[in-house]
Amino acid sequence: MTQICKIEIDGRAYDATSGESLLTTLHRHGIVVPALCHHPGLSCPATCRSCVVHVEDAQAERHVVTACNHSVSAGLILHVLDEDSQQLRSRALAQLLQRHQMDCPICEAAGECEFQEAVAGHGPQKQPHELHGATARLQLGTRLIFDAGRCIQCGRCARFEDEVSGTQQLSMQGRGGDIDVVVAAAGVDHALGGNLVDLCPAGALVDPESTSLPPTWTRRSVDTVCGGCGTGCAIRADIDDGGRVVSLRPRNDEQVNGWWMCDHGRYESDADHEDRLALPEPPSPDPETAWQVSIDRLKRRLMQPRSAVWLSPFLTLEEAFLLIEAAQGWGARLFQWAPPEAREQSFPGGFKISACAAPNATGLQRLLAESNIQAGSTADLQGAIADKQVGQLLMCGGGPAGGRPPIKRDDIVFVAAHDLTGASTADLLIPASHWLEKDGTFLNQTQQLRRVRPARRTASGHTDLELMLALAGRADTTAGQVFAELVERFAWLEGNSYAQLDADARTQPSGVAAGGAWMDSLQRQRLLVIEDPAR
Amino acid sequence: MQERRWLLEGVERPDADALDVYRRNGGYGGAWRAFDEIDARAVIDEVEKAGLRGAGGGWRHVGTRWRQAAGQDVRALVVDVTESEAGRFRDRKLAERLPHRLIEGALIAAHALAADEVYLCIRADWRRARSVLGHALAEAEAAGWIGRPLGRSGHAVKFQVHPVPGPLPARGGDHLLPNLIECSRPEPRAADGVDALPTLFGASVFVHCAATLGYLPSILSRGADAFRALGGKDFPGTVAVSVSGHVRRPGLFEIEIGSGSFGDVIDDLAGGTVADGESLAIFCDGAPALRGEAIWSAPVDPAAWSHPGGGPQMGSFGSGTIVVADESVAPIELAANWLRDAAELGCGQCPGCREGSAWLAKQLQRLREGGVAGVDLPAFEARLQELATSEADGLSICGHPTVAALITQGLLQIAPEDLSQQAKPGVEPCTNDGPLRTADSIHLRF
Repeated sequence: MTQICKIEIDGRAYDATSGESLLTTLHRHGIVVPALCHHPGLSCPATCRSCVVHVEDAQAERHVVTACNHSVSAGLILHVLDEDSQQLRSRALAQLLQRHQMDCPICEAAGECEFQEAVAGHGPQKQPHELHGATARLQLGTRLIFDAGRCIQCGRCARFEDEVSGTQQLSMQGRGGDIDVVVAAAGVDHALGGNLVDLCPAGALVDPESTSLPPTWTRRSVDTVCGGCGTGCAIRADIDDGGRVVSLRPRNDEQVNGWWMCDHGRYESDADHEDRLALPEPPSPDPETAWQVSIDRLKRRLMQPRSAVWLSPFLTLEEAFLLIEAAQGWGARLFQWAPPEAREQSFPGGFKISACAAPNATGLQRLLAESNIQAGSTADLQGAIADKQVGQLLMCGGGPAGGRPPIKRDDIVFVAAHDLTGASTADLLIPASHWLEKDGTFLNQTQQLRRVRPARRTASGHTDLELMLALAGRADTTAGQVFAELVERFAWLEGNSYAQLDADARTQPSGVAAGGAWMDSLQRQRLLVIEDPAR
Repeated sequence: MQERRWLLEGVERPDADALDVYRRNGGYGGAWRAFDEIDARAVIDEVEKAGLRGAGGGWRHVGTRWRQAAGQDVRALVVDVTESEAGRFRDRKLAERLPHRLIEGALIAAHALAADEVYLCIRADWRRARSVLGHALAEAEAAGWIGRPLGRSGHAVKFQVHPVPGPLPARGGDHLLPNLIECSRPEPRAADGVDALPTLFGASVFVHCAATLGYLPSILSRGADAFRALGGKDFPGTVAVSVSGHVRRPGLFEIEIGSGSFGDVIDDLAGGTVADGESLAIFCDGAPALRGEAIWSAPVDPAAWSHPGGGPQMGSFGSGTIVVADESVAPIELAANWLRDAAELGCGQCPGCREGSAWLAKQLQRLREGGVAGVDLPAFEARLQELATSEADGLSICGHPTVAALITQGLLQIAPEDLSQQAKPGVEPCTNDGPLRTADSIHLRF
């Protein structure tokens, strides 16, 4: 049972949770101790010894313990920042440094490297350095390189492969001075490989393409949710100076993704698809008014009889709510776009890639069910078109390429789509928002409500939310206000607000753009500060 | 000096490993008393009263530890028959010669801890010990000692032999064997606290070295007082000393604690040294090596050593294992051998062995081959000193690198000229790369 208790750290009293690890407690109170083999999402072998602190017992004798695998008990007396403890940590880091090929100036991980940070902050000022061991550079996958010379044998990758992905394509072999990470013949070919780059503390596992990205310290990041599938991993999008999303990395969300995300979400977000529209089509003579003109045309067509709206699982709850309201105003029939199917994958560590390739299918269903609206299926829609019951159809909110609906242009009189996908068949096209550009909420497959935030601007300068507001004939307002209206309307959302959702995300220790979820969590607690020296 | 056998009692009998010989001489009497006549709590009391301490080298009170563990749900007893320390062969000989004493001891301990299972972890490369122990287990099972309810307690204990790849990191301790039983790497796990019980498949287990268990049967059958009458007040009983190297009759000698010095053991029991001249004794559990007269003043009594007894003799008494070398051996050669071995046998998970011993071994090798050029002697000595304190400083999980560093340090201190000669430019490097010279034949005392 966990209880709040009093402990003493360096002569000051602190509150702590009994049973929690010393390292977590120290981090919670903003006391920096490096931890290189420890990762909160993996088991804790306590082998790197860089988190050693002193514990004082009842006889006032000091014992050295590793903070990562010892737990808090009431009345504990800790010495962390005294000279002895600091020197021990420095010695531990010196030992690890001995085998590390210090090519920081050309290393892909430089600037976002836990080991670099640890040595700079806690390591020896001077170190006799002798490189031994392997120095091979192996290509393990299209986005993964193993640089053996940088490896400090912390074993995080091997434990990840064992405990989380269950693939064991990286493992520790050999004994004594000969211990090394060994790679399976197939390399690393599972769907969680990108996490290895995040969790390697020393830049030994790197993404070769990261060299083409702008330097870490020039990026900022936005917390959002991955829209790649129904799992809805908490992620952060790293954005460069030009507002371009350069990488997606996981945040910690224990109820959803733990500390991980899959490579599909990470590398294949399709936000920069070459076919994406910047302006409505058919083009309007004046680009300034093109957006408004297209919306007016769309509304006029949909107000005619025999209209239908095909709701997409890529819409946020707010957008879907507004669109349903607009459709009911026009008297249009509602159909539900069955989410595209993906290959479901479960991993031994509990991580799941959902079979549903859209982020908000659950939310849309829930919204319809709670509003007592019967929306037809895709088959119903096809039947209705065949029976000439549908004259014009609004198809909206496509996701990544491939979400093309099975509708033939000849069957209906008029199709209005507002996205790139399936676009070539439509008469009127309005640019849509990618999930990286949306502001709102998604309900994931396990009924967890999570906030998505815009990480970038749309090319057209207009978002889906603006479109839906215009279609519903409402004044321009924010997603937060629409959500507040939803909360008022539906009992199942009671107690929620954007402020609350944001606060929840913050209590999940999850900044500036660097490293994986664990580094991110350190940065959030200001335990790791990566600053731009130029600023 | 006389031998005084408790652990190895009856080892000289022909067919000492057979069940009927063991039974005829009172064997399994202790187990019967524990299972039938008294209850588990009384067994713990008896062992606590006897003052038995762990013979693996830690010298912790067995009874007290059992009492502390009694509240926890101990599922199994893991028996460590894997001693990998250089020069020590006590547990192996016990398993080869007196397997039933080991089994009986394990039965008693399992009963005291209310554990239903015993895992006998034995090194896979010890063929003889494995076959003898396997045969003894079959005999004991056929006779109803194993796997069936015993006595009035009705407690049945199952045995399982688990061959493990050896040698293991010498000081892996309690937390290494469960890893091996789970088919993991031979790495000790870091424990949360000194007294935390190791876990096997998620359940708490108790780990004992074979020799500790070997003391139990006679403590139960003859009573705690008989055991207490031997040895010192804090460290009662006997200790079995493994002696090897340049002595006429290397072997395992069990003597009463405090009844003499290591020199006496060499002279009176091991037949003296092979050659005349000053001998060198290496204490394999991590104490500075001793030379000449100093060996005769080093008592075979843990109480006199700084660890565990807090006495004046520097270093750790450990299990009292010594290797004797005569003047033909250069201490620096021994040191290089020792370090290289330590680096190879360490598991490599923490930087102590991986970066410490391995790097130091390489430096010594370089020193021997090419002299001082390319070796930073102050850095070498500083790193050696760091490694020697690495366990106490929390920089390694187990004491494996520490023991190696202490032994190396001791050897280099005893012959500082070795190092400085190597260090002088122009001096011929030491090239004695041949194997250690040993006695013509090894007379084990059984």
